[in-house]
Amino acid sequence: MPCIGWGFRLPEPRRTCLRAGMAGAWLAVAVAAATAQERAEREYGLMVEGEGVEETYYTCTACHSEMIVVQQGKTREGWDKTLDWMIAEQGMPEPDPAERAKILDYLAANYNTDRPNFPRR
Amino acid sequence: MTDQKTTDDLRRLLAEDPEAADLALFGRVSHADRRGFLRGAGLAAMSTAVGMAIPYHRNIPQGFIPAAMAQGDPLAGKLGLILLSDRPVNAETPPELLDDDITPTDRHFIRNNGLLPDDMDPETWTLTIDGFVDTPLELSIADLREQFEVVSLALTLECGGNGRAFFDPPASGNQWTWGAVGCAEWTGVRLREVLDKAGVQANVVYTGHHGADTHLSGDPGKEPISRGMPIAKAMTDNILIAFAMNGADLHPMNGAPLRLVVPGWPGSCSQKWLTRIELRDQVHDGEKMGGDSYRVPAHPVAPGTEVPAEEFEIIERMPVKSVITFPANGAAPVTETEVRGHAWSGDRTIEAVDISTDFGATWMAAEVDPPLNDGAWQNWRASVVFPRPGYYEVWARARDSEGVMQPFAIDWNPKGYLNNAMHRVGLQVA
Repeated sequence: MPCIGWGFRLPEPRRTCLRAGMAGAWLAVAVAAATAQERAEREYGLMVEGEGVEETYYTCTACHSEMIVVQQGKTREGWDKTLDWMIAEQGMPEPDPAERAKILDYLAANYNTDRPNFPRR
Repeated sequence: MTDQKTTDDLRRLLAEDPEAADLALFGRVSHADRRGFLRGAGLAAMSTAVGMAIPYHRNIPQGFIPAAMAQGDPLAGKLGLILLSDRPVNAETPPELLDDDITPTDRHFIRNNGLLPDDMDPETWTLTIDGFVDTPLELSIADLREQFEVVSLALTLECGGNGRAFFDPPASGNQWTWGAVGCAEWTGVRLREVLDKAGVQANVVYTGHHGADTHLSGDPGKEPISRGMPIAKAMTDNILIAFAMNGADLHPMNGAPLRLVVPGWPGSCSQKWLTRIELRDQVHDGEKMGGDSYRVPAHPVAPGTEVPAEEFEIIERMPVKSVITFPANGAAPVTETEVRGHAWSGDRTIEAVDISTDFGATWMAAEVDPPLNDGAWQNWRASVVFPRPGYYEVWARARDSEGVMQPFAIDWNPKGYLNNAMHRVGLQVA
């Protein structure tokens, strides 16, 4: 959980990769580039590995970045409604029921309201 | 901060003077044949940046930035922003990088709903004004410059969802923390004057804005976003149809070559890549005008409440808010330091900013500047003395011209809008 309920996040040093660069500015550039590269090299980008990741990744990234997905924290019902909205209003093709269930299971397990995999910034 | 500052200086230099930047960044200088060379350390730096050795590095011209670094970078021309999403591109500014009185273009946040238009040519761009007007207009950017007074104003833009990351239960959307706000100097013509020229008919109640960005699905029949505002708001003198930002062309991610700038209202009212404004005899029904988009419950609700669609109302002005831009969260100042930041309140001014260094037990007034112009945020500062080294927090709360103060807690709503809870920074005072 990256924050507490009344609007304050506990202070923590941010972007240590930039701060730690005692060897000069170019190092910070290099570190930032490497981070983007790491994401590019991972099979499912920022999405965590797990049962259903492949179906989820390719369904979502047909239209938008997986970076949007991994920021969210929703219950299975909340994700179900999100898919309904994507299909009804955003031009997403309806997945078959088995695939839809697999995607919902993955999202509910990894991107629920307790935000176990909220991206580090 | 020093390293961040140096990086930023180099990146600015890269944009303005690639050869000088090349020398500073990679230690390369020109040969007579206009090819650069890399000294050992510079080659190592460039190789690290692209992730491997560069066998033909001797052929790389001076001022050349490897494509792996320069292309496909959603944050090209931006400095130190945090990327929330790369399709569509959304990025926010860490509070400590919002320290400037006027937000430089490279520090201004990006909030996109769709993909950039293929064509952003200012020479061929046209803006249509139609709907319930006496004379529909089709104006090029040159027409706008010639037919209307060109004005420059510092104007605050804040995303309606700024602060959404702190909602619990979480709210759907980009998880902005504090940095989806900025106050750049925008140059353009007043929307009011353009609407006056078209002739607003008596039955007009609302505007509808349209842009050239494309829907994520690729469907040309869909608009990513098309919002509007009440006609009374549209006739406010501080709303611009802008073609420049901080004295230069608009940044592509900030709506080049033409956009609306509607200060103090959710950023979504400030249509980017603006092509058309229709005047309507009813509330606009464009994309993200309905449902729960840019809407909040008409009455406060408990966190997690399911709110029926008919109980939502459209967000208009943004609430009173402030941000601490110095020192940065996690900084280690000495026992006496300046604390500073900005404060704003949509359609209002800031009367006071109070700060606390003892977890809210006592408060002191900061010095608050008047706004540069109507619609600009206000800069504030205070000198703080800590009694002894240790961990402190600086909290800031602003009060606006209607006497409304920032709250401690979030007024939760289903889509995570309007979080104006106080900002705080933690300091390791040495």
